[in-house]
Amino acid sequence: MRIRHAAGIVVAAVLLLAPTLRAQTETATQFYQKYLAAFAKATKVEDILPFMAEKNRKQAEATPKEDREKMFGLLKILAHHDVKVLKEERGADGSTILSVTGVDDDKKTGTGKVTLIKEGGAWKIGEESWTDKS
Amino acid sequence: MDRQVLTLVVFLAQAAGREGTVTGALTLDGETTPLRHVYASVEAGFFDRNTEDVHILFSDVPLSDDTRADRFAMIHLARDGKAHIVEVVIDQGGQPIGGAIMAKNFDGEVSVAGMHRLTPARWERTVVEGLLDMASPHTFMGVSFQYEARFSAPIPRPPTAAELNAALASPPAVAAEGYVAAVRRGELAGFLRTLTAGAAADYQKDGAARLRELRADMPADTRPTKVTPQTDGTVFVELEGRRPSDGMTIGFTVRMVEENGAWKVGK
Repeated sequence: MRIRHAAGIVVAAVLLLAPTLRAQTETATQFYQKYLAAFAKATKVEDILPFMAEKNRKQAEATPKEDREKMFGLLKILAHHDVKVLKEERGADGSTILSVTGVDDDKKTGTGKVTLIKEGGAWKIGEESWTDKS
Repeated sequence: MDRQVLTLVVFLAQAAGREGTVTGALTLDGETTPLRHVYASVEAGFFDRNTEDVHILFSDVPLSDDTRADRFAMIHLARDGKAHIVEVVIDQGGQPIGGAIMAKNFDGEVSVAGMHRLTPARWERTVVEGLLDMASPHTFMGVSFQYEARFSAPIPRPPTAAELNAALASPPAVAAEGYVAAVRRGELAGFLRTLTAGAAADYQKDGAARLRELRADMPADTRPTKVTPQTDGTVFVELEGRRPSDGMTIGFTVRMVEENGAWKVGK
């Protein structure tokens, strides 16, 4: 079993004033798909920070640059491909949990939960965890 | 008692009984620790995948669902001296075929087999009761150990189709359907009547606008799909519908509360 907690290993960078990434009508699934596309192209953690919830960005700020780069590399290694969103689950606190599935570099199918929260009316990634099916 | 109420009572009993009852103790090197918690589950048979083994866990501290699903989490608890756990695996024929003791004395976990004795009192699909013990103390890694536990534990299983249908026809599920219908109508007063007083109070400010948001977000074909009674008497009803624009399944979970004899959506 391999679990990835993006919230826990997101690395820091200078907090950029990112433009709002979500249009008013953007669904949680559309936002996450946009994030996945950005993550696939990302070469450094700063490329994905605008998608992250504030607490994750703050956590990133506290991380030294060299650790940040290592952790971003780890994120890339652990990433799943061909990710599909299966369900959006509304939380009582306004969050939405996406049930997702994807394939890792070892061709193993994994399932995940992605918690999206709203900050300033825009979706942000609060937490992401994956478990490989055994 | 009508069928629906009876079904709910059964489901409530199952929820309340996710953890069973146990009286017993684990003794390690002469030090006795009471076993206060018991959990039963089933897995495919170790020797024959076409059969089922019953796994029984005894512990001195409560073990959450997540902890019990993660063996390493239990071992870490034991290694840190935060839990004493006895596991016994019983095959479909009612024979103990293996087990383990997790404790700091063993630096985590040790597998133990051949000494478990089961005296069943009740052995059914959804509940097991009896006595598990050892005839005499054994020693491994220089640690003497013995346990005895008289227990009754439910075996959580997914509901059968008939049980699911009955649950979906139960009063809290029907009330949840009424809540969905009220959301679809979009009329605030009627919607508020489906909520508990506490939940309705939250809609005093911007209630109409929030209902419009909820109505826009909830697919028209939303319906109850799962009923999960809680140990506090409330019932979680999961609702699902498909968003027409992309076919995505949208899920909601409402907590149904019995208030003044009627089931309502609570906070």
